[in-house]
Amino acid sequence: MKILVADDSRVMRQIVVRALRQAGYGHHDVVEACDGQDALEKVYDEQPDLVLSDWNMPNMSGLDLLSSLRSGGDTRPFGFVTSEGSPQMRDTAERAGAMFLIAKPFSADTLRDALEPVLG
Amino acid sequence: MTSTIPEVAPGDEVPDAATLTQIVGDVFTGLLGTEVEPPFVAPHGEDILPVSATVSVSGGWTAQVVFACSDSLARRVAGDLLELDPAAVSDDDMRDVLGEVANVIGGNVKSIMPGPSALSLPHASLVGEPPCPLDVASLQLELAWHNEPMRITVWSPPETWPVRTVNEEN
Repeated sequence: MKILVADDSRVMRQIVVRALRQAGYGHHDVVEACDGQDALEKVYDEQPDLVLSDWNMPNMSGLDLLSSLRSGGDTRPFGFVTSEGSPQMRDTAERAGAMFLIAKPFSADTLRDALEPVLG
Repeated sequence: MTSTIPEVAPGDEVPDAATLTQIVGDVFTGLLGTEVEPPFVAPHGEDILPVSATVSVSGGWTAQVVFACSDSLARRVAGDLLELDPAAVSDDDMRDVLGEVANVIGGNVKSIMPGPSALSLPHASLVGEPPCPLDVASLQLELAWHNEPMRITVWSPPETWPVRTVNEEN
């Protein structure tokens, strides 16, 4: 399986990739995107099975990325990994079609709990 | 991972020190696996720390959240997170890690304040921390990590505070 990790911070992409490894998903292919626009292009080029995206990014936010995908009929699993985990943000994410929202900082266990229904 | 932190009541312009300490502690423990410490020397007070990053919150709550620290602290955090020797950490790596720490602290603070509000992208600086204006509601927290100083400042300008009635103030 292939996982797209979108975050404008290289540090945070590295943290997510490391957490994927620690959560037992190190054998999956990982593609990185540096903002929402880059992620949108890589979704179509790379056809990932799952998108893990930051919310606040330059050029295109994670929410705009998700809206763009869903409005184009793309239903692939999508989850946010973001610094804000308020009930309002979670509600907005869910209504936009996200499967989950993981608030930073997070543990490998939190990531595993969120990904298990998608990746097994 | 983040502990349960109670929301701040409407009318409180900045979180209290205990809440902010808990948030910063959770962020460092979550990102780096080690806890922050109280300052090991006398509080650095007016001393300007050399590197910083700021995020702005605007909307139901309007504020600036600033994370500032020593060059050594930022370099060590970047080295730990990027699995690099601290000496090999570039200026871009420093800006990235400072911005991300400010972003995560700011996002967690925003989550407990009245909203809805929007969080800006972080702005990092390698030439000192921005001054905290006078006549604002502010909270400054002095902490350390591996004996290196950090300062977290949250300030909110008075023109954005909600108008409170006499009864509410009493």
